[in-house]
Amino acid sequence: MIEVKDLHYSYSKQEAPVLNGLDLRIEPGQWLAVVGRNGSGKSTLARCLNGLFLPESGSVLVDGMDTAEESMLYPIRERVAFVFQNPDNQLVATSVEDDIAFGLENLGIPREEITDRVEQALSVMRLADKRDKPPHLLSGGEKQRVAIAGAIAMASTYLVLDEPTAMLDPLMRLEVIDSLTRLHREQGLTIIYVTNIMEEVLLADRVVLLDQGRVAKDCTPAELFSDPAYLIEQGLDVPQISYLAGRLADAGYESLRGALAVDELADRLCRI
Amino acid sequence: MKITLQHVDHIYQEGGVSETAALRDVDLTIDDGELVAVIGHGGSGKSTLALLMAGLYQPSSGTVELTGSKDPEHPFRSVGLVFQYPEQQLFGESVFEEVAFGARNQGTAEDYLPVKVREALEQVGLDPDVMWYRSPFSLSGGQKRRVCIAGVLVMDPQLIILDEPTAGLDEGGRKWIAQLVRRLNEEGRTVVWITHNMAEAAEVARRVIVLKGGRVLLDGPPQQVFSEEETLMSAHLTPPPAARLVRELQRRGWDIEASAVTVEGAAEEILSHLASGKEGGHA
Repeated sequence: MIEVKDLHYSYSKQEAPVLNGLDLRIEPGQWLAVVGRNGSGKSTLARCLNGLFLPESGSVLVDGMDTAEESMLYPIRERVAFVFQNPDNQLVATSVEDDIAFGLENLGIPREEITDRVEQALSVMRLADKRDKPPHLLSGGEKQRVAIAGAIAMASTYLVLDEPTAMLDPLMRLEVIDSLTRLHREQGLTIIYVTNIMEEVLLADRVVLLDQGRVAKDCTPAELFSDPAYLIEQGLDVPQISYLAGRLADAGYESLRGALAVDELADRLCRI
Repeated sequence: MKITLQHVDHIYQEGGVSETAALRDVDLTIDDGELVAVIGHGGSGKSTLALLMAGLYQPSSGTVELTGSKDPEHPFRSVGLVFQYPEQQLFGESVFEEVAFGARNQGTAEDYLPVKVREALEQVGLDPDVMWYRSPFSLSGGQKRRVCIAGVLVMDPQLIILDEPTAGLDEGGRKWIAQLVRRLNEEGRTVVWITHNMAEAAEVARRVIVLKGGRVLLDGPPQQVFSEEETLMSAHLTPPPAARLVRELQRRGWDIEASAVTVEGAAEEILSHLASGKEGGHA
């Protein structure tokens, strides 16, 4: 379990704190979406989860280990892996295989185990045929899958992703989402998914909405999307179907409120 | 300003081992004052098209012609291009220097630069007095994007091309870009907006061009383009959810207009269908 307690963080003394007394518990096996407008603290929170950023006050415990204790940082990072928004900023090696192995080599893991973990990551992310390719010649979606492979080779419990599809086009986005869904289902990986794309929130079991550095709402995606007015107030995009369902409900067809998907709304409309 | 592409091919690494045709036999005219969205899957040729229209690339064959430029000797100087992720190219020491760069290159007198920069910053909703001396690198992602757009507007382009200007922005930022695009067009500029967000294109553009494998697959008003679900799917594109709902209802036997591709359009169609069904007693 990851426990965040009364977390405060600011980038500079002059500016208002980005995280301002945030509390959160993340149970293993969950798919948690983190949403909120730009500046609400999403990315900062994500970076606190594996000790990339350290709390100004409050604490972050990963399976009982405190990120503020320097000796705990490596063990924590063997559990919590991080994938950034832009794959070009996190790929370092000249081949896919070497890139996945890079972090493991830095941890001083024995050669044989590195080979095993790289093989497994290649196979889970369906990248085996790309193993010798230079990462910069891959498509955006493939690059991001390499980044995820590198992350899960390092850490097997929690995967934190900061808007991992924001720079991808729709087809590549699906490619990445499919890989993550499989990882979550087959390997039981806990996924902490920061996003601005509301359609992607629907993948999660649970969603937390951040506002001014705190958890403003902690609920299921269906609950979140049943209140379009609140989403707009929070500067979030309302999925078109939720918005349309709300608009029709306001016009007197109350049974439509809260529909999330095209088929679901069509079903409900046909029952009127 | 009008732009005409005739039989344009664009091939990368021509003759090399990794030769790739990015655009093939593209014929396209965008008239003065149009607001056009260009959509397509990654690799469909969208960004290549932008670079050709801006005169930064020469086509491998065919012609790209601009007519009606206020600078007929150098017509491409009247085209402004906002690159994809423009904030990756920031370099100025201050916001003023950053935005002034293009205008200075155009030959704007040094005394007049502050006036131009001030105007451009105001156009993108940034307070010149607050921003002037700040390092562009110290700004938030959304502010950086605005500074970059100001750096193009300062050159007063007649044709402005934006390559995925909303990528990575939150809802507020995306709405702001959509408003800006509309306003630039209302001021009389021709606007080409490259995006992969179908809903955005449906709400804002008056004409949508769909590229697939370097060719024009569809070209028409959003109502028409987004009702072509099968053709779009063949280009790995999905119509906006509102348009998909309307199609799904048609499939289930509803007699409604497929041209309803926006939320408002779909809501009106559905409400009038429900109302008429009730009156007829067969809903």
